[in-house]
Amino acid sequence: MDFFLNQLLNALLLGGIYALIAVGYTLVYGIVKLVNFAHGEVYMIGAFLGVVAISSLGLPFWAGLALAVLGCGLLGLLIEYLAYRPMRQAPRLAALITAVGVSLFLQNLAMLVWGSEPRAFPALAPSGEEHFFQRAILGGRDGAGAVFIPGKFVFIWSITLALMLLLDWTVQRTTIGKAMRACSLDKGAAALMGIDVNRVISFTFVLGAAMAAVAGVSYGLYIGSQIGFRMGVYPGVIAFSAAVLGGIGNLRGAFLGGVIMGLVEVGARAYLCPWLEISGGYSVAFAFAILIGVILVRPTGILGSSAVDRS
Amino acid sequence: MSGWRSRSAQFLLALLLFLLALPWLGPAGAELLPATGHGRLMEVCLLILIYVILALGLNVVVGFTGLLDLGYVAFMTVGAYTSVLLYRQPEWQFTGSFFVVAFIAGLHCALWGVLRGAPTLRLTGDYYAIVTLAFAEIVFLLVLNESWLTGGPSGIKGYPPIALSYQEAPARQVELRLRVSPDPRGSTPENPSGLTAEPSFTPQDLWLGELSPDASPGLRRRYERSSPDSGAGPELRFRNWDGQMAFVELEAQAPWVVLGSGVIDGESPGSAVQIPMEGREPGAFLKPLIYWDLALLSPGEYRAEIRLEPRFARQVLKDGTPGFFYLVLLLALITLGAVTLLHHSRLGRAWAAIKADPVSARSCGIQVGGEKMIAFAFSGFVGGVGGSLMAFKFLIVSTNIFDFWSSIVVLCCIVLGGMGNIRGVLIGALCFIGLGELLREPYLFAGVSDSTRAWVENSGGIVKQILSVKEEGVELNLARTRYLFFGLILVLFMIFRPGGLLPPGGRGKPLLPELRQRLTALAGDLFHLRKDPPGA
Amino acid sequence: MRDPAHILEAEGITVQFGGVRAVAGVSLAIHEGSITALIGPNGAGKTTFFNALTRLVQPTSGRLRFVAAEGEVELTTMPPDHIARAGIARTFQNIRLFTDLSVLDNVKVGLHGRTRGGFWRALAGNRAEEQRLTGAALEYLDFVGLAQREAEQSDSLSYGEQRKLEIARALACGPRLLLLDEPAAGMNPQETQALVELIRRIRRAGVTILLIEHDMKLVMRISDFVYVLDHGELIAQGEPALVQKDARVIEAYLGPQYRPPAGEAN
Repeated sequence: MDFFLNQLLNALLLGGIYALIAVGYTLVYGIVKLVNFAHGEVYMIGAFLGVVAISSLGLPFWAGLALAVLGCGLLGLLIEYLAYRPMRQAPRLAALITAVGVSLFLQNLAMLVWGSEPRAFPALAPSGEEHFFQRAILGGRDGAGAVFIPGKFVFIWSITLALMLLLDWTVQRTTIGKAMRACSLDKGAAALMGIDVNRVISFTFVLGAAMAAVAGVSYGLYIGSQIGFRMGVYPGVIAFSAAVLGGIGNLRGAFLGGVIMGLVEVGARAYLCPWLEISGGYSVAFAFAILIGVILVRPTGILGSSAVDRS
Repeated sequence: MSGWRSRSAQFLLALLLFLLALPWLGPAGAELLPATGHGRLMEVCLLILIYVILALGLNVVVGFTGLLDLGYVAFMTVGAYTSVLLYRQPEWQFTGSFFVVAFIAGLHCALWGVLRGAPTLRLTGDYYAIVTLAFAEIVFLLVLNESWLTGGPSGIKGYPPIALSYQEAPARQVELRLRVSPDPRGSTPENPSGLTAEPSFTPQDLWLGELSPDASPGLRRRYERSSPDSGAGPELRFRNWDGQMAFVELEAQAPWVVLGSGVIDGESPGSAVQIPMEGREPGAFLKPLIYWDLALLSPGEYRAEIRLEPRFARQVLKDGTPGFFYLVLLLALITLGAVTLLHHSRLGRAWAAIKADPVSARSCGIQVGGEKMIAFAFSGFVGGVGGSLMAFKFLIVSTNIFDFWSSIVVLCCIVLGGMGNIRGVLIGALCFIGLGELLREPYLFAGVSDSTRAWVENSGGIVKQILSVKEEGVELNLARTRYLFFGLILVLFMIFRPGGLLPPGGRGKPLLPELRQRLTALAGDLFHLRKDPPGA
Repeated sequence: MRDPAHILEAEGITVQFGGVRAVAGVSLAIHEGSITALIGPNGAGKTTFFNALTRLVQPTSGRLRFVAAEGEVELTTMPPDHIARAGIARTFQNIRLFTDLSVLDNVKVGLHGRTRGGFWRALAGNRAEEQRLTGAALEYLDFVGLAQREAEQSDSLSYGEQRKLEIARALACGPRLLLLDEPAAGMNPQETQALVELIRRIRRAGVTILLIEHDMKLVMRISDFVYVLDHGELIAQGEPALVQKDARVIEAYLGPQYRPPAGEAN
C-alpha cells in the first residue's frame, strides 16, 4: 500500500510537471500552429537557472524560482522574436526545421555553459510553507502513520494548481485571454478587430516559457538529480504527447494529458515493466505508444474539438 | 539537372574522375595535400560519400515530399544491426553476400518506414516529426537494453569485414591442457591469484593451412608460398597474459582472415568465444580465442577441446582499401541515379505536389497517403543500406555511433543544400561533412602571449570548453561545439537562405544586404522606431 | 438521376461546422454540356458547396449524384482523389498552384490521375510515357493560351496567367465537370474577355462547367443557368436574365432597402 501511494504521488507530481510543460506546447500550437521544439530546452534552462540561483548565488527558493521564471520568459520572448517570427509566412517544414535548430542550439549552449555532467539540485531545508502544509495534512505529525505525503509534494502541487487555475482564468476571463483565443482561431480577423497579434503571440510564448520554468524548478526541487543539458528531450516529447492526448490547443486538455502521461510513465516503470520483465527505461516507450495510439484513434484528443487539418 | 553540358554536370564529372583516381593517388596525394595526408583524405571522402547516400535518402521525404523526419538515425541503426547480425553467421558469408545482406537490411528498414509513417498520413507534418523522433528514441532504447541481441551499450564488434570470396579448410580438433600450480612468488600485486599456468596442446604447433580439394588455383598458389617452415601461415599459439588470464590465440598473417570457433569440454571454467580474426603484419597478436580466469581456478589440470573451423577470406574490403572506397562510390552513384530518376518521374511530381499543396494535389487525383508511403519506404531502404555501409566502415556498431545527432547531421546536409534539390544535397553533404571533420581537428595558435595563456587557464565555462593551453600555444578545439554550430546553421539557413548554399537558378537573395536589412528591422522593432504591421 | 440530361444532381446538401450552417439544404442540378453559374454575396456558402462537391469537406447530410464515365456515382462517400479521377476537376478561389514546380509540371500533375506508373516505372525511366505526357501537357497549355511558357516557374507568371495555368491543370485531369471558383477575380476587362472565350472553348470541347462568380457581366454573358445562394440557402434559380431581376436576389446583394429603378440591369 505504501509503495502504491508513493508511486501515485510520484506519478501525480511528474504529471504536474508534464502538465506545466504541455501547457506551453498547446498554447503555442494553438496560436501559431507550430510545434515549439525548443520548449523542452526552455524547461531545462529553467531548471538550470534555479540551480544556479540557489546554489551558486545563494538565493532563497522563491528568489530562485522568480529568477528562473523571468529568465525563461525572456528566453521565450527572444526565441519567438529571433527565430519564429521571420518564419511566419514560410512553409511549415522550414518553420519546423528552425524550431529544431533552436532546440539544438540551446542544448549545446547549456552544455558549454554548464558542462556536460548532470548536476543535482541543491537540497533545501523545508521552507516555512512546506512545514505549514505538512502540518496541515498530517495534523502536526511528521512522517508518522501509514500516510506520509511529503511536504514538498503538496508544496509543488499547490503551486502547479494555482498556476493552472490562474492560467485558465487568464485565458477565459481576461481581455488578453480573449485576444489569445481570437488569434488562435483566425489571426487575420483578429488583426482586423484591432488586436496586436504580435504582442499576443509574444505574450503566449512568454507564458508558456514561464510555466516551463516552474516545471523545471519543480523537477529540481522534487527529484533533485540529473539536471543535465539533455534533460528536456524526453519530457519535451512526452509533454507534447500529453498536449495531443488532451487535445492540442486546449488548455485543460494539456493539463489532463500531462497528468495522464505522468500516471502512465510511473505506472509503467513501477508495475508494467517489472511485470513484463523489461527494463524500467522502457517506461518512456509506453508514453510514446500512447501518442501513436491517440494519433490513430482520436487525433483531436480527449477534449479537442477542432477538425484535423486535412493536409 | 539541366542538360549534360551545363557547368554543374561538368563539375560533377570532374569530381567523379577525382574520386575514381583517389585511392591510387597514394603518396602523390599526400604531397598535394600535406596537411591532411592521403589516408585521411580518402577516409573523409568515404564518409562524405556515405552521407551523400543517407542525405539522398532522407531528401526524398524531407526535400521532395516536405515532411520533417527527425529520426533518420533509426534506419541507420536498424540497417547496421540487421546487416551485422546476419553477416556474422558463417552461412551469410559468401561472394557478394554484402549486397544481399545490405538489401535485406534495407527492406527491413523500408518496412519500418512505412509502419512508422502510416498513423500520420492524414495529419500535418508536425505529427510526423514527433513520431519520427519518438520512434528513434524507442529504437535507441531497444538497442541499449536488449543486450542479448545488440550487445547493449558496447555494441557488437569483431565481425568480419566484407570480403570478395571465402574459402573453407577442413575442421581441426585441438586438445588444450592447462596445468595450474601455485606461483613460487606467491600472491603479488601483478598476479593476485598466486597461481601460474602452463599450457600444452596437442597436436603441437597446429598448422591450419590446409585447403580443401576444390580450392581455386590462385588460392592454392598463395598457399604454397606459405608453410609451417616459412612461418607465414596461421598458427595456434598460447599466450599467458598478465598472469591473470590464460589466452589461446590464433595468429595469422596477411592475407589470411581466419574464422574459428572453440568449444569447451571438461570441467574448465573458461569460456569459448567465436571470433573472426584478421591477418595482419607478422608478429601481431590477435584477439583471444579462449581464456581462463586464474582468479577462479585452483591448482590442478584443466583441459579443453577446441574445434576449429577455419575459413579464409580473400580480398577484404574495409576502410582504407580501394575496394571499399569503390564499393561506396558505386552505391552512391546508384542512389544518385535512382533519386534523379524518381525526381523527374510521375512519382516525383506527385511528391512535389504534395509538398507544395496537399489539398490541391488531392484534387488532381493524387493519392496522397499512398505516395507518402512509397517515399517512407524508399527513404527507409536507403537509410538501411547507408547504415550497413557505416557498420562495415567502422567494423563496430554501438549506440555511440548511431545517436540522435546523426539524424541531425544528415538533415543539415540537406538544409545546406536547399532541400529537394539533388545537386544541393551533394554540395550540402560535401560542405557539411567536410566542415564537421574540419571542426574535429584542433587548431593550434602558436606564439600566443603569456597573458593570453594565463587568461585561458583561468577562465571557465565556455572558454574552457573550446580553448586549451598547450606547450606550443593555445589550441582551439571546436569538436564539442560542433552541434551548437549545426543548430545555428539550421536556424540561419531557414531564415536567410532556404534555397541553400547555391540555390537553383541563382535565385537566392544576396546574403549580406538581406542580413543587414533584417538586423536593422530588428533594431527598429526593439526601439519602436518602426511599427510592424499587425499579424505580419 | 432524375433526368438523363443531368450530369450532377445535388439533393439537400447541408454542411454544418459546429453551430454554423455554411450550406443548408441545397438541391440543384446541372445539365450536361451547360455552363451554370453559382452566385451569391460573400459568405453565402458557394465555395463551401464546391468543397462539399469535391469532398474536401464532408457534407453533414444530402446526396450528390454524378454521372462519371463508368456510370453514376455517389460523391459524398468518395475520397477527393477518386472524385478527381471520376471526372470532376476544380480551380480554387485563391489560386493554389504548385509553386515549386514549373508551368509544364503543374499541368503534368493534372495528368496524374489519368496515367499510370509508380515507383518501378519511375526507376525504369519511362521515357516514352514521359514524352507522351509532355506532349499532352503542352496541348493543354496551348489551349489556355500559355504556349511557349512551359519552362518557367509557375510563381513567376502574372496573376491572370496563373489563373489560366490552374485551369489548364484542371483540364488535364480530363474532367467531365469543371468547377471554376471565381475565375475572373482580379482580372481586367481584356483578361475577362479572354476568359469568356476560354470558357466557351472548354464547353465546346465537351466539358460541363459550374462556376462561382461575382462579376455579373461575365455571369450574364456566359451562363445558361444561374443558381443563387445566400446564407447557405438557395434563394433563386433560373436563366440569368430572370434571376438578375429577382427581388430576393437584389435584396441579398444590396440589402432590403434598395429598390432598383425600373428597367435597370444589375
